[in-house]
Amino acid sequence: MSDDLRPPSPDAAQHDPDYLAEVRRMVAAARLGRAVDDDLLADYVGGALAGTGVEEQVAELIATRPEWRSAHAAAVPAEAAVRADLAHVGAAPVTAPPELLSRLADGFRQQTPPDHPVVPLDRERRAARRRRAQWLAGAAAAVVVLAFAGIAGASLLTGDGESGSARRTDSAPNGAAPSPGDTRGPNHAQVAPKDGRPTDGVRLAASGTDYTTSTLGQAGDQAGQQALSGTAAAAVPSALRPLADPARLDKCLHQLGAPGASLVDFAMFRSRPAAVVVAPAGSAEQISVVGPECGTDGAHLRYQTTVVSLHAS
Amino acid sequence: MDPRGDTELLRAHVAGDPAAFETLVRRHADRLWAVALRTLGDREEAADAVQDALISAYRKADRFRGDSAVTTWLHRIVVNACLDRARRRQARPTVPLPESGTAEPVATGPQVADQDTALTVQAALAELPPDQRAALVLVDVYGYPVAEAAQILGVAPGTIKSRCARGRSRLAGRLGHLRNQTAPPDVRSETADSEDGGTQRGRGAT
Repeated sequence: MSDDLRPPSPDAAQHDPDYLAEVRRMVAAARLGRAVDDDLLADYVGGALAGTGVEEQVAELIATRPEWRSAHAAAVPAEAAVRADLAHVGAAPVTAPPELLSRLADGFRQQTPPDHPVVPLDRERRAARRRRAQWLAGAAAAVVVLAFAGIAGASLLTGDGESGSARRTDSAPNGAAPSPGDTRGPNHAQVAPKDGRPTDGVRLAASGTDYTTSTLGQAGDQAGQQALSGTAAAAVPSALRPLADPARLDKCLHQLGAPGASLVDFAMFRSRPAAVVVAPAGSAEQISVVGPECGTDGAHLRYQTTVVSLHAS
Repeated sequence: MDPRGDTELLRAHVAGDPAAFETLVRRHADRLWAVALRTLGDREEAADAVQDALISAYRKADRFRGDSAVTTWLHRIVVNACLDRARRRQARPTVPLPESGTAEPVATGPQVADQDTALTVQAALAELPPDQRAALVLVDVYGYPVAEAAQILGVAPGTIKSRCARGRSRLAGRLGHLRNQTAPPDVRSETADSEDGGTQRGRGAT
C-alpha cells in the first residue's frame, strides 16, 4: 500500500488535464461519426462536463442528432433510477463485525507506539548484540539461535499463499529490541513448572512477529528476546489466549508430537494468529506453525519446516 | 464515550496514548467497514483490507498533516487498501467483466422485492471497474459530497463526477433501466443499436 498516505491531488482544480483532453477527443470523434458515445453522454447527464468547455457541444449533438436525442431521453430517467437503487443499498444499516474490531484491537496492541523513543541505530544495534550475548549465555541449552539459518528438508504447507515479508512490530530496522518498557534481561524467561508435562522447560513468548515461511527460521531469534512476562502476556493475540493455558498447550504439543519443544511464540503467521513451536531435532530444529485450535481436536498444523543451524553467533 | 474530537485523539495517539487510536477507530468503524464491504463485495476481503489499512494508519499517524479531516484520511487509507485488492483481483478475474453498460441485464424489471433489488444492485456494482465502483459507493451509496470523495480518492472532483456518471450508465444497462425506455416517435432507438454493438464507448475516466 505504498500510496495509502499519498496526498490528495490539487483539488482546487475541478478537472484533471488528462480528463479534459479525453473529453475533447471524444467530442471531436462524436461530431465526425453517427454513433452515440455512451461515456460522453453519461458524463453530460451526470454533470461531469460542466466547466470543461465541451458541455455545450454535447448539448448541440443532443439537439441536432436524433440518435443522441433518443439516447439522452433514455439515459436521464435511467440515471435517476440507478441513483435511487444505489441510495437504497446505502440505506441498509451496516455494522462492523465484532471479530474485526477484536482483530484490530489485537493488531494495535502488537504495534510499537509511535512515541517509542528513538535510539541511534548504531547504539541500538550494540545494545541488541549485548542483550543477545547475555541471552545466549543463559539460554543456550534451551534454544539454538539461528543468526544465519539454512532451511533444509521438506516443508509441509497447509495454508494459503504467501502474503509478503514478515512485519516486525518494533520500529528498529534490524534490532531485536523487546517491547518498550521491558528492560529485564533475557534470562528472565518464564519457564513452565517441571511437573513432567510436555511444556516443561518450554520458553513462552509473545513476540508480536508476523512470520512468513522465509522468516520462520529466525523464530528463536525473534522470540527469544522477549519472554512471556506479565506485560508480554497481554500481547498474546486474543485468539491464542486459550492455547496459552498450560493444560491446553500440553495437549497441543502432544498432538503436534513435539513434547520436547524449546520455544512457543504466540505470534502471527501470514497475518493470522498462530503459535510457532520450535523443537530440537538432532543438530537441527523443527519449527511448526499451529493454529489457535491446537490442542482441541488435533494440532491444526499450518506449516512445518526443519532448520539447520550453520552457526550460532 | 470519549469527548475528545478526532484530531485530538489522533494527536493523543501520536503522543503515546495507548487507547486513543482504538477509540478513534471504533468511532468510525461502522462507516469504514460499510465502504470497504460495498467496494469489495466480499466480507473476508473487506475485513482484511480494513485491518491492513488501519494498522498502517496506526503506524503512520505521525504523517497526518491535517490537510483534511481525520475521518477523510482514514477513509482514504481504507479505500486505497480496498482498491489495491480490487485491482489485484481484477488482474485475475474469475468472473468476466462486462464490456459495456448495455450488456445483458441481470434484472429485467422494477417489480422485484427490496432485498432482491439490493442484492442485484450490489452484484452489478461488483462488476464495475474498481475506480468507478469506489466513487459510486462513496457518492451515491453513502452520500459523501463529491469534494470529499475526491479527497478520499485523491483525484479531481470532475473525475469523481465522471466515474460516477459512467458507472451509473453501466449500471443502468446491467439493471435493465434502459430497456424500458421508449424512444421518441420520430427517431430510432439507439439503445437497441447499442445492443448490437453499434454504440461507441469512450475510455474510462482517469
